[in-house]
Parts: sequence; structure tokens; C-alpha cells
Amino acid sequence: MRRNVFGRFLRDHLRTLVGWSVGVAAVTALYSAFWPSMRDSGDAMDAYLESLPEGLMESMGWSSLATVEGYLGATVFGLLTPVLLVIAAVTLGARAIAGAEEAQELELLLAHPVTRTAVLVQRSAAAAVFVAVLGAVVFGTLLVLGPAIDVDLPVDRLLAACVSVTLIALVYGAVALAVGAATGRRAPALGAAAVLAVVGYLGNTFARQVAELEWLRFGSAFHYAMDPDPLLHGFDLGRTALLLAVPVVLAALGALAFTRRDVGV
Amino acid sequence: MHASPDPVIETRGLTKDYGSRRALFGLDLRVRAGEVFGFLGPNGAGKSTTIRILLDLIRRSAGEVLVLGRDPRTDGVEIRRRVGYLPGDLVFASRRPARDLLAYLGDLRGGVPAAQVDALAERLDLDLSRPLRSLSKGNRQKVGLVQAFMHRPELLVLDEPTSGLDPLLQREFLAMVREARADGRTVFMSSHVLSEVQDVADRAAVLRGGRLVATEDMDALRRRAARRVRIRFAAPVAAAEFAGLAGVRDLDVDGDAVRCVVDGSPDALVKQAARHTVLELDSAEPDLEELFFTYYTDQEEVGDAA
Repeated sequence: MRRNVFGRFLRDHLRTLVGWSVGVAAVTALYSAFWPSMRDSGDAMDAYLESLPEGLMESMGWSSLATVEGYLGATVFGLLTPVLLVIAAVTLGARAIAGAEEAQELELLLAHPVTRTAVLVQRSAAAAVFVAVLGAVVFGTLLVLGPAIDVDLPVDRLLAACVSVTLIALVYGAVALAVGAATGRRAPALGAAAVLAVVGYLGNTFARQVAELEWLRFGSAFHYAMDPDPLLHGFDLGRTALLLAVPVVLAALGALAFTRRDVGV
Repeated sequence: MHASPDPVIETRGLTKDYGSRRALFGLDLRVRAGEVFGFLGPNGAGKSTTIRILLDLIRRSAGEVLVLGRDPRTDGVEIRRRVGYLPGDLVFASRRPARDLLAYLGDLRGGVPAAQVDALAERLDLDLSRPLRSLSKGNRQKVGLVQAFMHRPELLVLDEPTSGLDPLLQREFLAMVREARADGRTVFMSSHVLSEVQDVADRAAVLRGGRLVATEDMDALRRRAARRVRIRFAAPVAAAEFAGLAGVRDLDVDGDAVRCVVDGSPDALVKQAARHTVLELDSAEPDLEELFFTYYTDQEEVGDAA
């Protein structure tokens, strides 16, 4: 089989992917394994939570820690895997064009009979596969481990939640990739994606309790991915489509800027 | 005048601005099919900028460029298919072996027989199984040369090809360039050292401060090339003996030592020196900057005055 830019990029990041997969699987397994003990002390936990200010529970998205959906929604899907996958996607997105350019590796590739658009599209696709594998690791871990730790979720809703987390990561990864493709520099790519992700996460959190901040949610991928909660309601076609469209549009904008500038200066 | 075939590289009024800084000032360059063309100039003269424009890595601000009869802006892929390019600065971060990268780059070109890669690697004494990131500067340069030559391109564009190579490998490289020319292929190579290209190039252009100061046959350039000469005699000599010799300038006679700069042939100096017992004779080529600064600014001034 002929090697291409897509395959080469994945191959070059295979070790990284294995490392991330182990980490994501470990974190997912560790936190979901707390569920049985959490459930057993569930009543006490709920009583404790009720003693907390009302807004705090709401803002953290803790509907109830006494149900498995509530517990996983607050821990694995509410914070841990989104953070891990977003970090993986953003660093990879920034590396795909800008990082390679700063490392002076891009020039040799672009001196070959490939278009810049093809390089960007193939590397974006490879990065998307990378992130999707991490999403699949979350799904697989919970699927395999579920029976042993009493995590008994319908497969379709579990899948919907994993897809949502993956899409959040893809959106911010695409921001990093597009900004990097446009500027050729890693720092602004990482910066833009990190700022948007943090504002998106906090914005979505605060907006739950402060009506004046409601607008913040419109720019937040977390909002579209996690509200309504996919663990409770399964796929939302409209929002899934939107979260898929955003990275595609970002990549297209990145390609547009990338093809119009000097490389490696 | 005889009709020459279409040039392989042709630029007219090629200009490049980086923001408000102008890097290239209206370059007119013609490289003929089948010749080895040296692209000379000190570091920072704009050689790499010009070369990158030929491959559409960066975009010109004004002027026209044709490579193999096509415009890099619109036909970049087609041009790059037929060109072998050695970047001026090669860095590899991959842990994968060199063989892997070369197979990948070959596949981007539609496949290159492994035997061709192996033969080149053997010639340059390059171990293809070593991880890329562990390679020394010289070995990285060899990987770069292999990927530039391996698909037997019609045009080789080589940015400082000999940097990092030891003298033995430089000779091997020059042999590769001569073979390419014997096959009817064209080589366009840059250097900041005249001696690196003078043995192999047919013609050369000299770039300084983003301006083309000369395009000449290598022979003419070599005649022009000034050399710094130092001779030590067994006994003191008189300055008058050496003053006014053809091609000798900047003369400095100090007892038994003579220092001077020789433009072109050192014949007159050698014959004069032969009248005495010579203990030592050193001859060093001044760097290009000095060389062409002296010669061509003088020419310009003469031209302006006329």
C-alpha cells in the first residue's frame, strides 16, 4: 500500500496515541470504579449535596450523584474525559501544520507534488481519527468494565455521551489546527484553542446559574454537546450535526488562509 | 547567436517583500536546460528566498517566474513532481528510520524503486536504518540529497548542498551532479562559497543584498576571482619588485614576507617570486562578499560615471 500524508501522520503519532489511550482508559476506569461505593453512600451523599448552596450543584451539573448517569455525567463525562480529549486534540491540531512548520519539517513535505490543501485535509482527518480513537477508548472501557462495577447504561446512550465528548475535542482541536495553519505558529494556535475551551467550559458552567451569562453558552461546544445530557437522552441529531460542521468549517477556513501565505519564513 | 532551447528556470523582475522589507529586487534569471548553474551569494543575500519561490513555498510580490515552462503559483504540484529539492536547513524529529521517510517521500511521488534509494545511500555512505532524529548534520544532509536525487528529476534545485559534508563526500556529490548533467538534466545549486561550485558549474549568478550583480560563465568568474596570497622568502625582498605586477593589488611587503591580493591569473606574481628562494606560499580565496563587493561595486561606479 502506498504511504500517504494521512497514514504517515497517524504512524508518526502512534506512540503518542497509545500513551493517551492508556491514560484515558485508566482515568475512565478509575473514576467509574468509584461508582459502587458512591452508590452505597448515595443517600448520605445526596443529603450532603442538598446542604450545599443550590447554585453550586446546578453549576457543576450535578443533577444527582445517586444515579449512575448523574455520577458519570458529573465526573467522567462532565470533566475528566473532555479535559483529556481536548488537550490531546489541541496539541495535535497545533502540531499538524504550525508545529511541523516551526520544526522546519513542513518545507520538505510541501516541496513534493502535494497541494497544501491536501496536506491540511489529510492531517486534519488523521488528527480526527486520533481523537475518535480516544473517544472509542472511553466507550470501550465503560462497555467492558460496566458489568463488573454495576455501571449499567444503555449502549446507545453511552455511545452518545462518548461521541459528544469526542466532538467537543474535535471542535477545539480544529480551532488550534486552523489558527496554526493561518499563522504558521504554534503559540497562537494553542492560545486561541485554550482560551476558547476554558471560556466555553466555564461559560457553560456559569450560565447554568446566572441568567445574564446565558449568551456565553452559544459559543461553547460543551453546551451543545452536553445539554441535553446525552447520558439521559441519547443522541441529539441537530446538535451532533452542528458539532460536526464546526470543525469542517474551521478546517476549510484554515486551508483558505494556509494556501494564501508564505511557508517557513 | 544561436537559438537556445527554452530555459528551465526563468525569472523576470522577480521581487519579494516581507512586509516593508524588500528581500529581492527585480531578479532576471535564466537557467538553460542541461547546465549546472551556480547560485552564489553571501548568507542573507536572498538565495533561499528565490529558491523557495521557484517551488511555490513562498509567493513573489511582483515579477514573473517560469520553472520548466510553468508558473509555480498555478502549477506548483506539476513543477514539484519534476523537481528534486534539497532544503537549506533539514531537521527531522521522527524516531523512524531514514528508510521509512524516503519510502514515504517516494510514494508521494508515485513510488520510487527501493534499489535507487539503496544505491544512492550506499554511494553517500548513509545508514538508512538509523532513526532520523539521531542523525548528525552531515547525515541529515545525505538524507536530503538522496530524496532530491532518487526519482531522477529533470531539474535539481539544491540549497547549499555541500554544507555539512566532509571533503570526500563533497567529491562524491559533485560526481552525482556531473552525472545528472551527462543525463541531460539541469542542476541549480546555491552556495555561499565560490570554490564549492566552481569545479562543476557551467555558469553562475551572483546575488548580493537581494540584487543580481552578475551572471557569467564560470571561466569568466574564475578569472575574476581574487585570491589572497602570502609568500615568505629566504631573504628580504624589495617592495618595488612586486609593485605594478599584472593582477596584483593591496601589496604589503614586510622584510621577507609579501602579502597581496591577486585578481585572475597569478602568473606574473609567480614568475617574479621564482627569482628568489620561496619558503612558503599560501593562497586563500576571500569570501564571496569581499570578492564581489570589491569587484562589482567598482564596476557599478565606473558604469554610473560613464
